[in-house]
Amino acid sequence: MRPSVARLGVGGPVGSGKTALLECLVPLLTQRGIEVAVVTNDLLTQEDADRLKRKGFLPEERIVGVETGSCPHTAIREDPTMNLLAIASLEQHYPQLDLIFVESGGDNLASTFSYDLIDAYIFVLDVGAGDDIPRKNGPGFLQADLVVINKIDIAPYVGADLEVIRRDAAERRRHKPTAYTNCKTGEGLEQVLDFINEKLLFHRSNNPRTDVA
Amino acid sequence: MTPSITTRDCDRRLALMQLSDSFFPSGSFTLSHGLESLVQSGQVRSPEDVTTYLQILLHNKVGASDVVALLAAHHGSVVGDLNQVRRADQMLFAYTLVQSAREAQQKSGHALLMVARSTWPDEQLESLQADVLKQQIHGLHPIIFAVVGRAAGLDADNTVFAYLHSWLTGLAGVAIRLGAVGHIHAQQMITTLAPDIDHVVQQKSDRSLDDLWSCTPAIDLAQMKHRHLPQRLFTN
Repeated sequence: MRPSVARLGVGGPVGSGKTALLECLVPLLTQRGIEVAVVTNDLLTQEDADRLKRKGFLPEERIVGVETGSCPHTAIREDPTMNLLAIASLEQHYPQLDLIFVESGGDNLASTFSYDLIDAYIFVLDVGAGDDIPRKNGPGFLQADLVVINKIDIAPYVGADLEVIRRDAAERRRHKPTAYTNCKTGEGLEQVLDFINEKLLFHRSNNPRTDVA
Repeated sequence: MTPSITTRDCDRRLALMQLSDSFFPSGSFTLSHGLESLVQSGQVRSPEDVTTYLQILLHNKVGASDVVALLAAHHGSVVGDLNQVRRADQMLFAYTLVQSAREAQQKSGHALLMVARSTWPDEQLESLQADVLKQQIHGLHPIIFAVVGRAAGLDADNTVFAYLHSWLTGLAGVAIRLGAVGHIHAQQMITTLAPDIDHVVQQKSDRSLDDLWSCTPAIDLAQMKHRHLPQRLFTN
C-alpha cells in the first residue's frame, strides 16, 4: 500500500503571516526535491489561494481554495470533511506528492486542528500581537506541534520583548518547539524546515536532509 | 459494568439524532443553496424573506425531487437492490438543473459517505464508495443519506425526517451567519416550518422516480450567479 501524503496544518490569527510563511517554505521545499500542494481556507474569498497562485512557484492546479462557510476553525476541527475531500482529490491527481499544506483562515488563539485532518500543525503568531500572548494559554499556541513567532524584526517598534516571549513560550509549551522567524529575510526558516523534515518526512528514503539531528 | 447490548440493539432514536445533528460532519455547513447570493443581491432581506425562501425550496425542489429520490434509494437499500439506488442517483442528477447544485450535492454526498463508512461499517456503503471511485455513480447527498439511514437502522420515515431536519437547521445556521436572521428568529423559523416539513413527509408515499420535478427559477438563477460573486463565504 502506498503511504498517504504527509499533511501539515498552518493556523494562527489573522495577519500573523501564515500565507507569507508558505510563500517562503514552498520554494525552499521544492528546491530540495519535495513535491508540495496547498489547500487554503479563506474566509471571504479565494484571496489566499489567488495570492499563492500569483507567486507562480507552484502549478495553479496544486493550490486549492476551500470556502468554509463559517468561522475557519469549523473546517479544520469539527467538520473537516471538505478539506479532506480537497486533499483526496490532490492525492488522486498528483500521486507524486510528498506534502500537503492545509492553511486555515485566520482565527483566534483557541483554534486547533483535528488530527483526523492533518499529521501535525504549525501555529503562527506575530510579535505585533504582544509579548503576553504565551501567557494567555490559548489552546492553539499550547498544543501546536510547532509554534512560529513571526515578524521578529518589528519587536522593538511594537514594544514587544522577545526574551519574554522566549521564556514564557519555553515554559508553557514544555518540550514542544517554537521557531522565531522573519519571513521577509528568511531568518529562522531553517528550524521550520528541520521540523517538517523530522516530523513529517522522516520515513522518506528521498529525504534530502538526513543530516538533521 | 460491561454493556450487554450492542450498538445495533440500541434505541434507534439515538442514531436518528446522531445523523440529523448539525454536529455530524458532512460539510453541509459550507453550503448556502443560493441564499448567500439572494442576500447579497438584496432579494432576501428579512426573516420573513428567509422563511419564504425555505418554503419555496422545500416544496418545489427538496420535497419534489430530493426526498422522492431519497425514498427510492432507501427502498432499494432495504431490499438489497443497489441498482435501484444507482437509478435514483442518476435520475436526481438529471433533474437537478443547476450545475453548482449538482456539484454541491455530489461533494456533500461524498463527504457524508466518507464519515458514515467509518461510523456505521456496511457492505452497501463500501459498494457505493467503489462506485464513486470508478465514477459509476454521482453519489448525490440525498441518495447517500438514504443508504446511510438504512445502515444506521432507520426506517424510511425517520431517514426523511433526519434529512429534512439537517437541511432546515443547516440553512437556519447559514441565515444566521449571513446576518439575515438572529438566533431567536432562527428557532421561530424552524417552528414555523414544522407543518411544511410534515406536509412533505406525508405526501411522499404516492411519488415515484417518474414523478420528479422542480421549479425554483429565482433560486436557480441566484445559485448560477453565486460563483461570480466577488466575495463569498459559502461554496454555493
